Amino acid sequence: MAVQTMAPRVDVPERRDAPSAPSETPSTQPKISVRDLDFFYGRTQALHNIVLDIPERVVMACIGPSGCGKSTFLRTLNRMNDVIPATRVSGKVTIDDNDIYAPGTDVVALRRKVGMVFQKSNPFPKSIFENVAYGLRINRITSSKNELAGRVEQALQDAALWNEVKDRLKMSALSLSGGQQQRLCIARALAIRPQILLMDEPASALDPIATSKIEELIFDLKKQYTIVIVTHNMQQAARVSDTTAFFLLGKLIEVNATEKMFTAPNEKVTEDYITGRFG
Amino acid sequence: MNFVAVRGDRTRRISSALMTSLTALCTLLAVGALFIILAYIALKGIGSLNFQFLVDRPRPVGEGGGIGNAIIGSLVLLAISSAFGLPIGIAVGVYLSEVGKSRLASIVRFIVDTLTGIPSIVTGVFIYAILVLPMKHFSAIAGGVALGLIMVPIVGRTTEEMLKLVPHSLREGALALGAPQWRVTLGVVLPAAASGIATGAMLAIARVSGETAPLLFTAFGSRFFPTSLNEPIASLTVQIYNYALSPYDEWHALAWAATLVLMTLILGINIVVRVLTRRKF
Amino acid sequence: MSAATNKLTVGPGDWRRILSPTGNPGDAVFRVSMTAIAFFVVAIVIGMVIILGADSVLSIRQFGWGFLTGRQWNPIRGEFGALPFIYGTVMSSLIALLISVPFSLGIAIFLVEQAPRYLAKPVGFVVELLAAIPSVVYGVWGIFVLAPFLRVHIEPRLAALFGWTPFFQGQITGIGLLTGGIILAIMVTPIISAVVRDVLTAVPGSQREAALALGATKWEMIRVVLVNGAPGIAGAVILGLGRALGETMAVTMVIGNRPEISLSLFAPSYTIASAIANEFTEATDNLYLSALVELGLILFLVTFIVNGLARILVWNVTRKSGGLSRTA
Repeated sequence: MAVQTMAPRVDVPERRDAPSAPSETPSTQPKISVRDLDFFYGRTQALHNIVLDIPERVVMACIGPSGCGKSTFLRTLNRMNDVIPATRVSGKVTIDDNDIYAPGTDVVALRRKVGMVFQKSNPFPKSIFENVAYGLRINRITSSKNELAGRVEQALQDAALWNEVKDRLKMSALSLSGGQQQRLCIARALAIRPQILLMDEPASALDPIATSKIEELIFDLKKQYTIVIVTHNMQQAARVSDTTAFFLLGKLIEVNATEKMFTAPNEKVTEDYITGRFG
Repeated sequence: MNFVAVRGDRTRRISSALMTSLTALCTLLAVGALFIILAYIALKGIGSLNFQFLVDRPRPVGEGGGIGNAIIGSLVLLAISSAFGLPIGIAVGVYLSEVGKSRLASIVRFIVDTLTGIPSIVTGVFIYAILVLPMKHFSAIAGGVALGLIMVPIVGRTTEEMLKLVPHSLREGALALGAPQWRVTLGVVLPAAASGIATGAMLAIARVSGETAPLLFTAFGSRFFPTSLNEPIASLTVQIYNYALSPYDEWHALAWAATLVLMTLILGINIVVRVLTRRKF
Repeated sequence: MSAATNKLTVGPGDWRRILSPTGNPGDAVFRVSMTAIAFFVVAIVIGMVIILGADSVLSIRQFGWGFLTGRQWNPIRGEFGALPFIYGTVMSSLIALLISVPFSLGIAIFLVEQAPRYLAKPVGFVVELLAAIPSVVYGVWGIFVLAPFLRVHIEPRLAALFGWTPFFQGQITGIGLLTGGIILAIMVTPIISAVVRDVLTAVPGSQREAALALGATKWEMIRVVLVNGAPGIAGAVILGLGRALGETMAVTMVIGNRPEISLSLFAPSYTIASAIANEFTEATDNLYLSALVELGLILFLVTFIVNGLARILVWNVTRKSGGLSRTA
């Protein structure tokens, strides 16, 4: 599907200018390709036959009412659901031509490539520096102290947190405010330079100012990362994403360019949801 | 392979597998230790276990003898300790949960917790000082009180926790009908928590039935069947101790058999409690 | 209903109102009696301290602080020094912790992070049964099974390997500091692992997910959990220490009961609790008795401090799951 450059702006205070057109022709291969994905919690089927392509360097928003399966879907993309007992997956999720559910898949390497930011920030009870450095250390990405410090600084810059914490890197991460902690978690995820970033309602626990900071961040990150963001806030989806996927009761109802999704969706039920008739 | 594995990944994976196997090994060893101990008790004890052993009192070496008086003695001591420890323990639990105001109750709770951590031998010394010395002799009463004192904090804390589990709506329903607090507590809350309190009491009894140290200088021990509470009295644990430390092989065998009896009792109570509480949760 | 309770209004100065917020006489009686019983228990504990103190006065006056440093325990000559017991108590507990802590951590980690749910509960129960075995039973097993095993199979090998150090010298009898330490280790493991299990369970799942999402292996994720639970784990270890310090019967049956200080683990030793257990009924004169009571006082104070410290550490971590019933 064609990549839209901008989502329609809906009552948002300030916005940066987006590039008017993509600087390069996007590759025709989707970054993530989902085919016939079924997901079960025990006997309950949570996802039904999901078919979806996610192009590279695009922000895709997943929207839908509570319990529609959007978070479950997000977590299938980096196999985080593996930690929940009695879950079962069938179908294919292909990232860069690799089926991530094929037996023998190196899940550790997968999660290096596909990062995740959670709904409620979950920094480790360590210093700010050690939080960001964690992924670098365990993945043995660099052995030089200088390079490590450099990567940490870069990640904090990318997460728009550097200026606020550069003088207190050794302090506990838990001393930061909620919005700062969330940006710290984003920095932590970015430090290992994943190619794909999954965000599960990253701003739902934050106040409006912190939320808009996160949204600006996503905007910047899009230049380098493929981002899939789950949100229950439709205005946010409209502000931030290029394409939107609408889930309902474990089924993917519609995928569309965001502008089209919010002005002239294909399905009636999508339109009902967007206009607030339910959910 | 699929995703780009980095150098060092293999080491990490091996490390992780190694450590997780080690933890499993630790658990296996712990379970193994329990079974080894229980197996030894069963195998070494069963040989000397017979009816005579269970009903006779200790005889001089070579004449057999048994733990009959010790069993009765232990039961007597358990009865005295329960009579002393259970009501006080439950009352403490009721106080901490229903009556005490937070500041004062915290202090009481702290002291009760302290009581839990006191080595049982120190409790024995204390009871020796306040009961045995004035009475000028050892007695079943002193032993029972010592054991009861050990029971109090155990019963007290479990009672408090069980009472706190009773939903407030139950209390409020009764209070709203005009019942005074004492009626609500005794007639509604305590019965609701009764099974939990009972299991707590059983665990306390199991725990106390295995105590030896405090009895060494309160109940002291005896070779005869008990005739009065005001005299020294035998107990299973002290008898095991005496048999085991003696220089006679024959008495060592009796020590094992007595241990088997004691362990059957204690394990029995623990398993029963576990079965009962599993149904609850 | 008595006439008194028909009165809906009970004045502020009324004895019923003072004793109970509801003004109901039954409540007043109830509250007073419960409070009295609770205070009775408090009084007993305070009484313990007083009695222990009072009955050790004789010994304290005679030896002063020298009691703690005195190496001679000679009832015949009336010389009483507690250092051998302090040494034996500390050393046996230390050995016990050195052996037990890694095992307890391993067990707790396995049960919380690795074992499938259907396995964790029964296996956890089995491990906890180790705590239900009475001290004297451990003692019997220790004398007749563990000690001979150590004497025949383990200690000679240790002597062969490490005999050049002062820790593994001397006569091998199977009865001594090492045996005492090992028995204590077995006794203390279920307690430490049970508390650590509570601590690890209280660590929020979001921490585990955060680590995994960054590409952590299972063990790396467990390390994050351990970091989260560190203060609680420390508390669990200290709780185990408190138990080990006060253990009496099993220790007295396998440690040799000789008031000598020796670096060798094979040598017999003596702990405070064993000394009291062994010699209390044989104390013939007041000074002897007073010295033993002073030993009891020392043990009381030490376990009080150690347990208090443990409680503070564990309380903060497991407050939500209300896990203090373990310490009973």
